[in-house]
Amino acid sequence: MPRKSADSKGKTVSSAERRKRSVKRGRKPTTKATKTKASAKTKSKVKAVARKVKAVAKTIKRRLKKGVKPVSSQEVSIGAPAVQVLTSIDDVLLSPQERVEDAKYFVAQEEKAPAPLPEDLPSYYGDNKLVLMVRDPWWLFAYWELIPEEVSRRREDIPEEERSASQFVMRVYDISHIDFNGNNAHYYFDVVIPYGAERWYINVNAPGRSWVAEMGWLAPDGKFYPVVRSNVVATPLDGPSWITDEEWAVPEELFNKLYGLSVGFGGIGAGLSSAQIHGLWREQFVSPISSGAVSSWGGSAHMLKPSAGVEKKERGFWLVVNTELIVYGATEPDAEVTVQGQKIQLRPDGTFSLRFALPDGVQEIPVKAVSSDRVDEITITPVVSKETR
Amino acid sequence: MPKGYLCLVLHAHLPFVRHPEYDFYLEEQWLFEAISETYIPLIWMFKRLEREKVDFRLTMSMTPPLVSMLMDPHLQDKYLKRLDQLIELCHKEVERTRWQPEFQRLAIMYLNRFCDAKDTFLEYGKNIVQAFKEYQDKGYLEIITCSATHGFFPLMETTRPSVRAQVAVAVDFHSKVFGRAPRGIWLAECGYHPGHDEILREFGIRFFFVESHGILHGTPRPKYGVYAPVYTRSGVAVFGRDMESSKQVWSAVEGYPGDYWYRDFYRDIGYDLEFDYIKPYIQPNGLRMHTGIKYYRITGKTDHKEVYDPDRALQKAAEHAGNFMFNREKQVEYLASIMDRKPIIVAPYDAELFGHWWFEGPLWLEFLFKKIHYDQKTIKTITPSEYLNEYPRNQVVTPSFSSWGWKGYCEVWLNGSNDWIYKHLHKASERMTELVKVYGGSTDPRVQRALKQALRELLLAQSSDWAFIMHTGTHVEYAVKRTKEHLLNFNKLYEEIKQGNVDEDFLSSLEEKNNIFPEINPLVHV
Repeated sequence: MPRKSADSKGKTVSSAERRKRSVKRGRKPTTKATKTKASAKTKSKVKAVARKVKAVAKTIKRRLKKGVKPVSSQEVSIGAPAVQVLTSIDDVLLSPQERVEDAKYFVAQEEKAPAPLPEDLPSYYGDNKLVLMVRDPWWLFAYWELIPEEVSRRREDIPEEERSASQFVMRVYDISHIDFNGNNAHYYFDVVIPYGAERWYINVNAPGRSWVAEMGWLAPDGKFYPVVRSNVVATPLDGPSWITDEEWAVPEELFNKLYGLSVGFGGIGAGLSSAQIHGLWREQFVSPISSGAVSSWGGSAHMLKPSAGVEKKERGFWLVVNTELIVYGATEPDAEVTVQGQKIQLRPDGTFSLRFALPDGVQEIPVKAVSSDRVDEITITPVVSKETR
Repeated sequence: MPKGYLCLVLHAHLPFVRHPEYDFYLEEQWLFEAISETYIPLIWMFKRLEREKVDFRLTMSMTPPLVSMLMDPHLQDKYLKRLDQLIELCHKEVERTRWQPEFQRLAIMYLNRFCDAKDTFLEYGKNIVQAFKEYQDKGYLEIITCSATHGFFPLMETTRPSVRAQVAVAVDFHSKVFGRAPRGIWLAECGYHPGHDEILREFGIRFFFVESHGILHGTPRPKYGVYAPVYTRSGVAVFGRDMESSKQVWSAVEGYPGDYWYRDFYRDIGYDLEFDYIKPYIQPNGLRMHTGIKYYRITGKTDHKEVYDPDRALQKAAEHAGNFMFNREKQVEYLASIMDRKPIIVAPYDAELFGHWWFEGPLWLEFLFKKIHYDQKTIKTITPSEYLNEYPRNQVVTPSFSSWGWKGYCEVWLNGSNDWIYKHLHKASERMTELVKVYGGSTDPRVQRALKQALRELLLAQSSDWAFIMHTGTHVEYAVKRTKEHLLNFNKLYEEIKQGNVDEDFLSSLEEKNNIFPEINPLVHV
C-alpha cells in the first residue's frame, strides 16, 4: 500500500504549523531539488509553506497599495464574457471575492498538491504589445502589456491643454478586405480601459470581418495617439457562405436540406431560408448534446453544460443505512474450517474473520472446524435474523 | 455494393500525468480507469470481431501523451499494482455479497473483468499500444495522430511556430511508435484556424476532421454538406462531423447512454461502502474515490437506484446498436437520393465515453459492427483513407474557424477562468523560437539537452486539458499547478541557456520527470 504518500498528503494542522515555525526561524529552502527522494520531499514542503507565507504577504501588500489593484484572472472572470466594454471594473474588483479565491487556493494546495507550489509567473515581461484572439464570430479577446515609460512619453505628444482630460482607450478597427494604414478602416469604436486591466473581451458582433486594435490616448478634441497596435484577426462566418463555385454548384433548396441534416435536424432544412438555417445551427449548439461529465476528469469539451436530468442532483436531507455482519473466530492453525459449507483460509495464527452484507431475513451460518488429523470436529452455528423497520 | 459509408472515429486522449515522485497520485487514476474500462475492452472487441471474421473499420486518434503514458514502464507498473488491488477487493466483494446473489453475480463479473484485463495487459508485455498497432497492421484500424500534447490550435494562431512544433513532434513520434507515418490528424477539440492546414501538409498529413459548421460555413459553399470531404487550398482533405449520428450517442435527452437499464456511473463502492473496509482501496489520505466497481443501474431521474442487470443491459445495447444502424441506413438512402456519389457519415466520439462513462459502450460498438456486417447491405464502415482512395476528386473549400466545444468555437478554452494563461504561453512560445534561432546550432551537448527539455516543457504547458479543467471546475488546482510548473520550468531553462549556465541537476530532474518525447527535435519550433 502506498503509505508513503499518505504521510505526505495527509498533513495535519500541527505539522503544518511546525513547518511554518521552522520557516520563520529562517531555514531557507535550497533551490537544487534532487539528491535523495526523502530529503527533496521535506524541502519541497518547507518551500511550499515559505512561498505561501510570501504569497500572503504579497496579497496584503497589494491591498495596501492605494486602492487600485491589478486585475487577476479570477477577478476578471466574474463577468468577463458577459461584461461588455463599459461596465465599471471597480464592481468586479471587490476584495471579498479575492479573499474567497485565495482561501480556496490555499485549502486546495494543502489537501491535494504536495509537490512544491510553483512560484508565480512573471507579471510583466517588459513588452509593449497588444494581442487579439478570436473567441467566436461575435467576440474578440485582447491581452496586452505596456511599458509605462512609452505610455507616458506618448502622452507628452498631446498638446498640454488637452492632456489632463485625455483617456486611455482601445480602438478597434474593422479592416475587412483593406490594407490598413491607420486611417482607412471601415469603422472603429473605442473601449475605455480602466487602469490596471490587463485583458478584455470585445463584442464586435460582426461575423466574417477582419479586425485590428490599437491602444493609446484619446484627447478631448478627438485626436488619437496610439501607443501599440495589435495583430490582425478575422471573425468566422456564423452561417453558410454566399460564395458558391460553378463546378461544385448546389441549388439553394438542396443545400438547405443538407444543412438541416448535417446539423442534426433531419431533412427539415428544405424550404427554409438561409436566415432560418442559421437559426437551426445556433440552436443546435446552444441546446445540450451532452450527458454531463463523461468521466471523473470532466470529459470532452462538447459534453459540457449538461442539461437537467442526467446531472447528479443536489440532495436535500437524506439517510442511508446498511448492515454488514462480521463472523470471526479462531482454531488450531492447521485445522480445516468451512463456513456455510465453503472452505475458508485461516490466518497463520489460526484466526479468521469474514464479512457479509446482511440482507433482511434469517441467516444460518454453520462454522465447522476439523482437526488436521480428522479426528476432532466442532460445529458452531450462529443464527442471525435481520429486519428493517 | 453499399450505398454509402459510415466512418466511426474514436478520439483517445488523456493529458500527460506522471508523478514518479509519489506512490499514489489521484490524477494518474484517470489513465488506469481508462485502461481497464475503455482501452482494454476495445482490444477485447477487436479480438472477438476478428475471431468471428466480422469485417469492420474503425478510425482512432491516439494522442502522443496517451501513447507515451501507455508505453511508460513506471505507469505500467503502477497500473498493474492498482489492478492487483482491485482484484483483491473483488475477491472480498464476492464473499461479502454471499447472501445477496443479485450483487454477488456483479462482484463476480467485475472480478472476471479485472482478471481478464490483467491477462490482456500482460499478454502485450504491459504495453497495450502493441495491441492497437496489431489491429492497424491487420487493416481494421486506421490510427491517426493528434497535436503533440493536445494543443488547441485556434488559440495558438499568433505563435504558429508552436503549431508547427505540435504537428512535427506528433508526426515523428507517431511514425516511430506505429511504424508508419500518420495519414490523418485529429486536431485537438476539432479546433481549426484557416491556414493551419498548410502546416499539416508540410508534415505529410492527408486529412483531418472539423465540426460540422467548420465545413458548412466554409467558403465557397460545400456542395455535399458534411457528407463528402473537401480539400483545403493546400490540398489536405477535411471531413466534417455529422450531428445527427453524434446526437444519438451524446445527447442527454435522446442519447443511448442515459437508458435506465444501463449501469450508473456515480454509484461506486468507493463511495458507498463502509470506511474501514474500503480504506485500502481509496486515496491514501482517506478521501473516497472511484474503484470502478458499481452495482446499480441508472434506474431513473431520482437518486433511487436499482441493482444492475447485465442481461437486460446487454439486450439494450443490442437494441440501440440496431436503432443506430437503422437510422444510418435511412440517412444514407436519403443522401444517396440527392447526391451524385456515395455519402460518408463521419461519427466521432471520445473513446473514453465507451466503457468508462457508458459502461456498455464497447458492447454497443461491437453489436453495431456485427449488425452492419451481417444484417444489411446499405452501409459499410470505412476509414477516411479508403474513402479518399475511392473519391480522390473533391471540392476545394476553406473551412471555417471552429471547434467541437460548447458553442462551437473557443469559449471553453478562453473565458474568465483560464484566459490568463495565454499571455504566458505565447511569451514562452516566442522565447522558444528565439532559443532555436540563437542556440539551435550550438554544439554544446548540455545546451542541446536544455533546448529539448525546454520544448517538452512548452508543449506540456500547451495541453488544452489545463484550460479545459480550469473551466470545468474539478481538479482546477492541479491544472493551474501544471500550467505554472511547465512555464516556470521553461522560463528557467530559457534564462539558463541565455546565460550559458545550464544547471545540470535541474535539467536532469526535469528530463527524468517530464520524459515525454525522448527523441524530440527542438529545431522544428520555427
